[in-house]
Amino acid sequence: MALWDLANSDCIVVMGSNMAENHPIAFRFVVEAQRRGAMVIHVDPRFTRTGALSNIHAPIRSGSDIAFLGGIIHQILERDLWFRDFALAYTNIAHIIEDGYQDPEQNGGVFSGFRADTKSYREDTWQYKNKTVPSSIAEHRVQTEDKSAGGDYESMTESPPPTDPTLQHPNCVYQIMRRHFARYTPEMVERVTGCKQATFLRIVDALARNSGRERTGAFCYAVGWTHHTVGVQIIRAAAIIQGLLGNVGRPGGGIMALRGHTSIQGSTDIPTLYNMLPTYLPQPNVFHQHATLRDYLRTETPPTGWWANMPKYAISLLKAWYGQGARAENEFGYQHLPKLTGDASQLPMTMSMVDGVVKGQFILGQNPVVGAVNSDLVERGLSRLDWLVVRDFAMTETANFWQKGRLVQRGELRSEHIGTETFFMPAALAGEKDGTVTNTSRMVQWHDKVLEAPGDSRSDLWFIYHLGKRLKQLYADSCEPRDAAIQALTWLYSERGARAEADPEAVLREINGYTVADRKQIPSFQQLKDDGSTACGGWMYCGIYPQDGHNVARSRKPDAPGGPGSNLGWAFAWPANRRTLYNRASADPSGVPWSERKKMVWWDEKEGKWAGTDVPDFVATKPPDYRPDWSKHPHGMDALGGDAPFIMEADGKCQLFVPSGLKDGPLPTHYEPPESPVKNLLYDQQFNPVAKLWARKGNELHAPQDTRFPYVFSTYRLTELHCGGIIGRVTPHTAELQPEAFVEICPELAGELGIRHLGWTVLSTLRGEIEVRALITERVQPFTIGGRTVHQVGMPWVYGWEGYARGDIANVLLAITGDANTSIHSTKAVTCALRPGRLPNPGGIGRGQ
Amino acid sequence: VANNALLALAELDKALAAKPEVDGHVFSAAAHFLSLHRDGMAARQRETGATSESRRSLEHVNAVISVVLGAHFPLGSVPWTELEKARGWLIELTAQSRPEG
Repeated sequence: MALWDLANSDCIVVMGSNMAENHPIAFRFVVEAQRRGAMVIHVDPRFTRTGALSNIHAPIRSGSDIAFLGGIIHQILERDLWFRDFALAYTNIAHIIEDGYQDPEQNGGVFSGFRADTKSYREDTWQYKNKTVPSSIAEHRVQTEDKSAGGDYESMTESPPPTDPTLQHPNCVYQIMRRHFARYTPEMVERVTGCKQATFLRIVDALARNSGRERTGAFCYAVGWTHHTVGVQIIRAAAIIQGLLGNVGRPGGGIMALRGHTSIQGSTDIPTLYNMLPTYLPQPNVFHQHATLRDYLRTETPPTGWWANMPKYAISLLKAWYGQGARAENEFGYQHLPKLTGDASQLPMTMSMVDGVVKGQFILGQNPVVGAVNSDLVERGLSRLDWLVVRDFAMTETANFWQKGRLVQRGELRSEHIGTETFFMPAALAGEKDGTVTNTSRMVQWHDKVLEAPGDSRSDLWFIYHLGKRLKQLYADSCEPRDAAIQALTWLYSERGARAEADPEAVLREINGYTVADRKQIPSFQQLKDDGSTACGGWMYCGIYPQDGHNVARSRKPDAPGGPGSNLGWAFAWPANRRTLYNRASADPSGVPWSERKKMVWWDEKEGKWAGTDVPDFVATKPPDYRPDWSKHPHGMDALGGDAPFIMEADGKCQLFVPSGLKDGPLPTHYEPPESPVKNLLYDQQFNPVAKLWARKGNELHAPQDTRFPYVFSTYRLTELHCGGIIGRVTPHTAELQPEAFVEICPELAGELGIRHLGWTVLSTLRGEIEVRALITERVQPFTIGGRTVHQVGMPWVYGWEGYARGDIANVLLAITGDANTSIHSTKAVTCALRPGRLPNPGGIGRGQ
Repeated sequence: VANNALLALAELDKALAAKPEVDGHVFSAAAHFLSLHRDGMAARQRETGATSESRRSLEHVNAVISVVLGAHFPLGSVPWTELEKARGWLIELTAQSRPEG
């Protein structure tokens, strides 16, 4: 959904985010929705400005989100609050699952397929009966086991998945979900989360009351959901709620992932991630059947649904990268692509630095000594490198760790013994360069340079372009096979000005795509081919530069008052300038809007095509009554009916139950965080059995209920100190607004421990200790969990030793652990100890005096 | 050089003996010794000049490191079979480097 579409919501739940403070621009649309009568709910451990502006604030203990959301699902199912016409038609609620499926209810807290020795799952028993369902998420396919060259996926072309529309079959998704969530009663929600039953039930009622044909609701979340070992499953729980309530693909309905700081969305689209090629194509894996391009495409291309077009996108990408030299006879340069052997995300690479595997690192737009978990381990890793390049607009802790770092200050390392050759290079800020920012609504907006960057500062594009150019020169005469990829890379961007800046519009034109023969821009990804005649750097961005001289990202034409509200003339939203994904679901199965008030896309019988206020997310001329002819084993979109809006899924249905792709189960399940002061009250299984935990010296975890570390600890951002903090800390105007690091403690706990307001306080874990001043506040409250009091404390993670506003680094306290699916770190629910006073060596790094 | 390879080999043997349990400490130690082995080979190559043999050896030890990382930080199943193969390559490398080590 578009950010501005939040204004059309009738109920907005902000959870896992302090949206008002950390996404204030987006929060304007929440305020507007409230002005129009919407109910705004904030579910969060702390009472923040978001809570203050909400109709309901529901405090829950960090790490208990699935218990809370599972409780909502339980209420929706047991009280029949779901939007039956929507969910029966558009979700897999009636699908029948394999006989061998067993739920954590009957299986000791884990799903069937669990292998205790390897701490992993097999997915066989999670499938639709007699089917093998490909995951629509390339990232998931890369991480799960190979499915023998896709042969089983052909089962999806033989017949529709078996269903029971009466919902009586014991293994239909509806019945499975009822059993799975049976324990998540309001009483249990209160015992696990600490949220009062009455508050919880008010939220359930508000959500249900504001869903259906006439009304829609939305969830907004940020890293308060993702930074857990069950982060993906928390989001899945919200997706189930929205699928049941019919809040997907409709005006004011959806789940808003609050990202967009520094183009985070853009960095997954055109990825800085290790496991995906641009626009969500899977990175080849050496252990999968990816030895040849043919094998890779055969294995990774789902036979049914829109992803059946994947070969067109993959080959067009190879043509964009390897140009004229990429031909069918050399697999279009496929062998130049590096193949994965394992998880090469940030956390494993940090540990690999410590082990001496990684010898050098480029740091662009990051400050990992402050922003990455287990800061001391990060410093140790950096100290083992041969070389380090940091590009930023001001000195960062990462760039001068060898001089001012904690390990140096503590005497564990000596600067003169650190061999890391460090290059600090000044970088241009956003206003000092042309380019795009992709916001959370997939909207790509162009921005122009307003002034020249000072001194030797250069844009990141300048740096990468010239680095690539020099590497190509360096390896131009090499005969080594390993250098062939650099030699083959197309790197022909025009240069501008005295600084020889690469033309960013040339990059955008390449991402958009063009015909190889005459290099004409391509207006739509439907025109991409798998024969090498088209080149495209990112298929989902196709249309952003549809013809020479027309940069759609530059467009700034809002709708007039009273207009459709989709603002299709404002910038470009991928794919196809579409604002709401799966918007076919805004009409009923026959193609008629669910209501006049919530109409968006509908079938125009007279014109024989889909029409609406947004770009329809469907085959334009496929009528609602189209049904696949199964006798012909249909592939691609032919296998999806005219009433199947979720076209990226193999059968076009919203997956309440996920048969493939998730590493930790087909349904969200409450597990305690690996570090927790309480026992899991729902299952014997204490924490996610497939969470990524890495035992190593310096990264020790606290055992569950370790009485040495009795308090829940959480980290967060501040409005005034943006991103990794450095930009606000070196700016006097913002630094003075948040001058020093602090920990928020409730008055009860402060009284117990003898901690005074603004007094020094030491926080400790097995990873390290820090000292900051205490902020005694009623914004945090003790929770009653399972009948006993549990205290939670929190502090901002954005401080370091650089800038005007300084303080100890919160991430010193955190261990490296990862979400089972994404490997993203856990920052929101660990445990710690707390005491008044200072560390033995005050006056060290960055401490206020 | 050879000593680090032997130490890495010993860690790989421990890892394979513990199969299917994944011991992070063991894989970490294996990666550490393999990296020292690789760095030593690279340093020697810089000093004495590269030969086709030394290049191939360096590529092989890098391949072993890649497989060990894949087992330490797996995507999906732990590649035990490939780890067995990597162990074989390491034995070959050790045999090659022993006379010089």
